[in-house]
Amino acid sequence: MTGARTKRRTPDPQTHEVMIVGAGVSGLCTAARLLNTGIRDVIVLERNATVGEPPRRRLPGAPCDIPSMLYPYVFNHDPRRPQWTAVRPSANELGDYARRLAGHFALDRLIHFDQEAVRLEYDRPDARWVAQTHAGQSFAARAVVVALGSVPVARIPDIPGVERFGGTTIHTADWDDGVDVAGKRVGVIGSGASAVQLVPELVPHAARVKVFQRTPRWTLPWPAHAGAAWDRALLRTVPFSQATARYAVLCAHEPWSVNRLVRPALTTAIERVATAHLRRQVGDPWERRLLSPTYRAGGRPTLVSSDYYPALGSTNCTLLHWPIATVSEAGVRTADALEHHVDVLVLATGSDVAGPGARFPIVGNDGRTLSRGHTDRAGSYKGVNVAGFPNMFLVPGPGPRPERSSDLIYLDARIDYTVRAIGEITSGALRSLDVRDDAQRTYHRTLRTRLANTVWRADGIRDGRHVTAGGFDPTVYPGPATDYAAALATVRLSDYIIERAPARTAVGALNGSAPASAAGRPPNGKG
Amino acid sequence: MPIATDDMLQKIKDRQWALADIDWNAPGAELITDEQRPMLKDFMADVVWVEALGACGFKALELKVEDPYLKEIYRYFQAEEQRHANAELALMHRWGMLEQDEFPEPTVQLRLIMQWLDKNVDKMSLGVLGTLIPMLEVALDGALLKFLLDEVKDPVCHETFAKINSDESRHLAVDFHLLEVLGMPRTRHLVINTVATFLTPSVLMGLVQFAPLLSSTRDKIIGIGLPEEKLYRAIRRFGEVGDKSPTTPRNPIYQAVKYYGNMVMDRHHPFHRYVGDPLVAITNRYPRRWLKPKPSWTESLAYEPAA
Ligand SMILES: [Fe+2]
Ligand SMILES: [Fe+2]
Repeated sequence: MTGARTKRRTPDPQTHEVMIVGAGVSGLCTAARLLNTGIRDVIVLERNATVGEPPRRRLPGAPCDIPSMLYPYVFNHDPRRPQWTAVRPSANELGDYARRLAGHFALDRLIHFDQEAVRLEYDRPDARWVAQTHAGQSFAARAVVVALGSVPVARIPDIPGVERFGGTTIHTADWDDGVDVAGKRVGVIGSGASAVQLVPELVPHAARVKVFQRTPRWTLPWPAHAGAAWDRALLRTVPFSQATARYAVLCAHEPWSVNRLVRPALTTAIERVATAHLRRQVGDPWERRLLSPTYRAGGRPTLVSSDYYPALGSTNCTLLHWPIATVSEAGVRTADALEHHVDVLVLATGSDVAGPGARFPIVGNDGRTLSRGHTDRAGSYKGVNVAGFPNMFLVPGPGPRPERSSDLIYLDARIDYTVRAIGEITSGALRSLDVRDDAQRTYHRTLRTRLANTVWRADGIRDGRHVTAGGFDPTVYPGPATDYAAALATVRLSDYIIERAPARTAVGALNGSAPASAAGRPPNGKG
Repeated sequence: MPIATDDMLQKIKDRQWALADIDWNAPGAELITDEQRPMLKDFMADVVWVEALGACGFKALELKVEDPYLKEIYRYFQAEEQRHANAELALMHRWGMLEQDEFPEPTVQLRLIMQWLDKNVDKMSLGVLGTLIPMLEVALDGALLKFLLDEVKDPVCHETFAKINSDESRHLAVDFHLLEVLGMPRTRHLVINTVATFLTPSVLMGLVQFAPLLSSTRDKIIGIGLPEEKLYRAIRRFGEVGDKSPTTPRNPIYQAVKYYGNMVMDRHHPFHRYVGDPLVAITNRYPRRWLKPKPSWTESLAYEPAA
């Protein structure tokens, strides 16, 4: 490897206008929109050799969470973008989309392949970001967009003895294709999106599958289940139905995003469909009782699966609803005093999403490193900027992320915001744009109050899932999507500390009308 | 005094045990006398099913309470009642009362209640469930299980019931906590308002069906030799503990249940002559083929430590 040798004395890299880290869907979307607004000096760093490579680790089965299904729709409202053919995204539909995006906008020429960023640091004297890559090269730009796919960080359940288990333990967020379950006794801890996705894949191969359920979830049938071809044809030919389907799915996922007056009806409708689905697929009343959710639909993301209940009904599969007392050497001890012996223990306990700081150090203004955990976004401004990290924009990539959706749904708004803010930097010839600490705190506080007072509480989300140690889960915006989009519609310069460029580079100031003064901007009323 | 439910939940999580913790082949099984065996088998079979029904009751409570910790506690209690049933099954197997894979057959009285609960348990109000369950637990804990220890010399039985009783002490603490909360001014209002829903025909049918179970179990216990006075004292404890609280006695359902319990336990009460005994006689002759199939949860009981 040449890294060590060249790293020490890299020639001073050329400073571009914008550097995007990651050539996934979100990175390429940002690039395309930047080009559209006339910002042409853009580079993209991509760790793979091509665009659209599938994720390295993929859980078997079809995604059961609505976010993965929603994907096509979120990106499909722009007629220039390719048409989607199925309600259900194919295995690497994201990759295909990234490829088509790159082809359509001829983005390949901007991309530096095989350049995996290993460090990102703000160079204060020159007011620019410098990236070091694994290949030992450096790249620099005035603004940086961190557009990495989210890194799921396995959430280790709070179950005593998990580390003591003598067989194979595997987490769904960290799935290893090498695990062979054929003829083995498998225990699955959890009953969320990843369990619902995985269990139907395990049951045909494993000798026995035991599912240790904690919270049964509202589960809808696949919309395409009955007449896939019919559905597909309709979706392709009638754009209107696409919009409707998208809207319906969106609403099913986030009932709080619809009008208060409609919400109860919608919630009830979801519950009716899901209950009918459960009735149709599960004959035994007691089993049905165990599988019936006890929260109002929308309190947690709704799942979609037509195979989960039948899989549970297989003779070699057992659903256990007892709490887990402890994991022992041999298996799982439930509170009903039985020990369930298993060879493979699958932890389907969900994942937290690490912030972009998880992959490599990102060093800001004053030498502070962006923290790893997703809670660092509690300290973010509108989910995009972080105080002390000037000219840096976070546009987390969507990627399959069971149980969380807001990034996906709000990604569009974030990309637009980023493009607009970068536009301000380049057209206003600003040296740096750094969000004010107090603006960030105010934004944070507003969210917190909102979270405390609104639908979240009403919908009964109090059991600690959305309320994290840091106060609350900042990746979930506590309100209608339209509000978030409105909050991001304008770049409010008064919320930023602006350093103006020295005269020699202030080209933009000549053609820009009045230099945007922080105080002179009309506040747009949203925060 | 109301308890801190979060601390209680932690305590419950810390005190879990499993069938595998007990050596079911340890010596002592021979201490059961041949004279005891048939009666004891009958009695244990009832206890197993009553525990399993308790699990159902706690499931219903879990769905009804608001406090998230209390919800989780009831999720554990369900499993713990099932655990007691499993452990008692294991004892029955140890004592050679059951064939391999044999389950004790529930009596008709139990089957009728099972059937009724299956349909109606979720329709009962929190006030009713939260008051009835403590009474049954007091009876089970205070009278039946302690009595068993007086009569049975097997050390494994003592070891098992020491574990069960320590679980039950936490159950009782939470039971009385809920009773207390139900008597508080704010909730009492709700409880009183739901008394009306309590008096539906199906709930009344349930109460009527409970009577023969209680009467017949009571007679069985006395039959194996539990002094009547002891049983009566155990049931009275429900009222004694409950009356100590400043709020519990204000809950009308509590008063009704207290009265009902005392009545059933008092053999001389006219209730037995006019209601209890005739019902036992009728239900004993109830044709088994009229019963619906057993709910599927009955199959989830197990006596082998490893599943
Ligand atoms: Fe018990
Ligand atoms: Fe109990």
